[in-house]
Amino acid sequence: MNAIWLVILPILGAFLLPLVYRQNTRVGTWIGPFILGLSLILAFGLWGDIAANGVQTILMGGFPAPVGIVFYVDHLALLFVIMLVLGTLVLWLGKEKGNIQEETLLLLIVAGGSGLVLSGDLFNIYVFYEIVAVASYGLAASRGSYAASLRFLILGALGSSLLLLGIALIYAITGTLNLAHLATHPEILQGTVGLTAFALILIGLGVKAELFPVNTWVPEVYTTASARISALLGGLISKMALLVILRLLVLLYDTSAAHLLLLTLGVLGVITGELAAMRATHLRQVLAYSSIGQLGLVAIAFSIPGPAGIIAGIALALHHALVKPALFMLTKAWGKQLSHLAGASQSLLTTILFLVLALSLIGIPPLPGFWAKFLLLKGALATNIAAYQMVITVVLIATVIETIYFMRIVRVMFNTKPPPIKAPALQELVPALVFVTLLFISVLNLGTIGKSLEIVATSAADKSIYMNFLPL
Amino acid sequence: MTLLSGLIFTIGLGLLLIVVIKSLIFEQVLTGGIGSIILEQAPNDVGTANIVSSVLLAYRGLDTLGELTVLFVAATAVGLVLGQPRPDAPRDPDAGFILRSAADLLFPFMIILGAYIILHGHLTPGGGFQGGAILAAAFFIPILASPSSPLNHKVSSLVEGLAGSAFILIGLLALFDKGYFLAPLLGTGEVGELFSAGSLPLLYLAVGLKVGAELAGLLARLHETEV
Amino acid sequence: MLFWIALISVVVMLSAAVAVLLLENYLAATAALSVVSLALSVLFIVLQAPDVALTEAAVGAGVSSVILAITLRRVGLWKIEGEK
Repeated sequence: MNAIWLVILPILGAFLLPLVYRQNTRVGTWIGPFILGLSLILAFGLWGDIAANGVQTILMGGFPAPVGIVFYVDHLALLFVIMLVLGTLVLWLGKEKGNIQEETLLLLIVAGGSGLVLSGDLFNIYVFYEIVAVASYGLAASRGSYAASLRFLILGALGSSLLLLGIALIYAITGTLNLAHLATHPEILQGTVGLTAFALILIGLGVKAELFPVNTWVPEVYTTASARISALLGGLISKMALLVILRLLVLLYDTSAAHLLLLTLGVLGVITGELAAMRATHLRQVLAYSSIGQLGLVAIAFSIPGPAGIIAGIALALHHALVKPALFMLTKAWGKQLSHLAGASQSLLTTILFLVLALSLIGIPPLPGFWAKFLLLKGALATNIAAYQMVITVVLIATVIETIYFMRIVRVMFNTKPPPIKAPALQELVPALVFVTLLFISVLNLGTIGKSLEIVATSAADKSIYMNFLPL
Repeated sequence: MTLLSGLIFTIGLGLLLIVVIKSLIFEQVLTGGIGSIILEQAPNDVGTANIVSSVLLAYRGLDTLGELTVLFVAATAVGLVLGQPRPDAPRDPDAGFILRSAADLLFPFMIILGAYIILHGHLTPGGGFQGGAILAAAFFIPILASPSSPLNHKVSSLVEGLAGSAFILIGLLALFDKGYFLAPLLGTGEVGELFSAGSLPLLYLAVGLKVGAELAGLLARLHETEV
Repeated sequence: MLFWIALISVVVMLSAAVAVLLLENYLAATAALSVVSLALSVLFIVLQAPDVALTEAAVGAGVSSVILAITLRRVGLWKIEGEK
């Protein structure tokens, strides 16, 4: 079994999708889910393979490592691929059928996202990032929200060019693009040029990862694009970019300067995101700002050196990838001003779903959100570095602010004075229901999940495993 | 205010780049650079006279597939934004006799030039992307001269889809045959011959057809849906 | 000789780039943009990168200018003269 299929299958499907649709619409509508399902099975198969035989590296074209492109397949990358494919598959449920271009872009964004986390070559990462970026501009414009998408495009294009500049700087001073090869001599990248390159890459990838200075597109796009697209971009795609940042931190920039840079951006993201969410008057906007805050938390976790930070980051990312898409899908029926939500509690199922998701996002004990935040606090406390211990205050304040704005929404929902709005159709709730079911399954299996996360994180934090395949 | 912040950002980025470029050493510390290894190995391993195409299609073939995909994504996104052209949309009148004859006259020459650049991609500078752009121009100029005879979008998207799939299928054949995706097939042949470098010319043909059909379809779509 | 070709193409490139910023007519700015690409492709040839030069000439100076021009026409900014 070869991990290249995870990237090739969706691309092949996307190339052929318009042709098949023209021949037979019935078959065409099933291609997307079929390919995603196949990828999911493949990814699970690979997971077992790796558990049995250890990490795989795949050489493209059979050229040995530093010269050709390498895919590096470990549990961490596979976990994010599974998350992306599974999430997209769930979001596919109840989708209005027959929009060929949107389905093509969805397949391609999955291909790009999978390639992004699997690739072990900087320029290859750039190419996949570009696929993801261009596809997300198109998807953001899919409902006629052209102004938001255009601003997103301009910011994203600036970010992509800075990312390319950073990669070019790294190539200029080292002469190689292979991550493992670069990791053999991390000291070359500790100088001014190397750190500048890291900052540029951080800004570039930060556009998708919703990092602090380059996340201005988030509220606008998430309020105007369709709920499904907001769920995909905010819940799933953003994590792929963050994982690349984590890989760079572990392999190339294992220094306090780089860690503190990411930490600062993460803290600023949490503070600005949560404060803005409290002021927002539009339900989608609240969710958009809260996703900036949550991704800031993931960035903080990833900036903690060692496996403890990685565990916390993965837990936060997975939790957010379950909860935020579900919340966005709930807003499909009532994505309006907050005051329009009055009387939404009439629909019992929706209310219960919303409450569970909000409570988990805030971090109320039995729900997984609590464990994710707890892991972050534990990791930060264990570092014995003053900066990280201050972060704990930030996280706790953020939690309080989250409680305030979610409870305000809930209060409006239970206000029955004005005529209640109509309840969303059951069919629209299906994706959210699936996500919540997954959430509950994860509550029941917290012990096993925690243990496997620990294994994933320790192997991801170990540079020597990554560099093993180099023929040096 | 916006202007000021933009100015500050630009000046800051400029200063940063000056500092960085001043401290660049251009020494390529690790192994003396991948480039020199490829320069040494490429003629033997891949068998191309043009080293650049060996990098594009053999050493970094996956990147080329990625670039093809980026172009496809962009075209799809543009199609999504533009929507379907209305059949009753007003069309421009045809250009005069001179322009139309010139467009007809140019057409075969541009096709030949595009095909030459694509097919000799492994020998001389150029290749699929450049030749594809010329092919697209060859199909677009007649549309400009006589808008009443539009491009057949069915054919262009058929060519595009099949050419893209052909690239992937050649890669998958290599996966089954040699165990590596996009590994060069069919031996290297004699360096400098037209039929050499194994499966690389085939890959370039797929790239050229895809890029040409894609760009021609994109230009025609932009032109047709004008208001 | 090579030095002078490089110098001329750099000067042409930079002045065309400044012209893009200063020109009021969008169509003229598009034309100036394609001059930038053309001069850049000459520079690439001087730097012994004929592949890149060919790409820059075909894509940068050719296709992308055409796309820009058609887009200008579509959004109604296509003006041959300077007047409104």
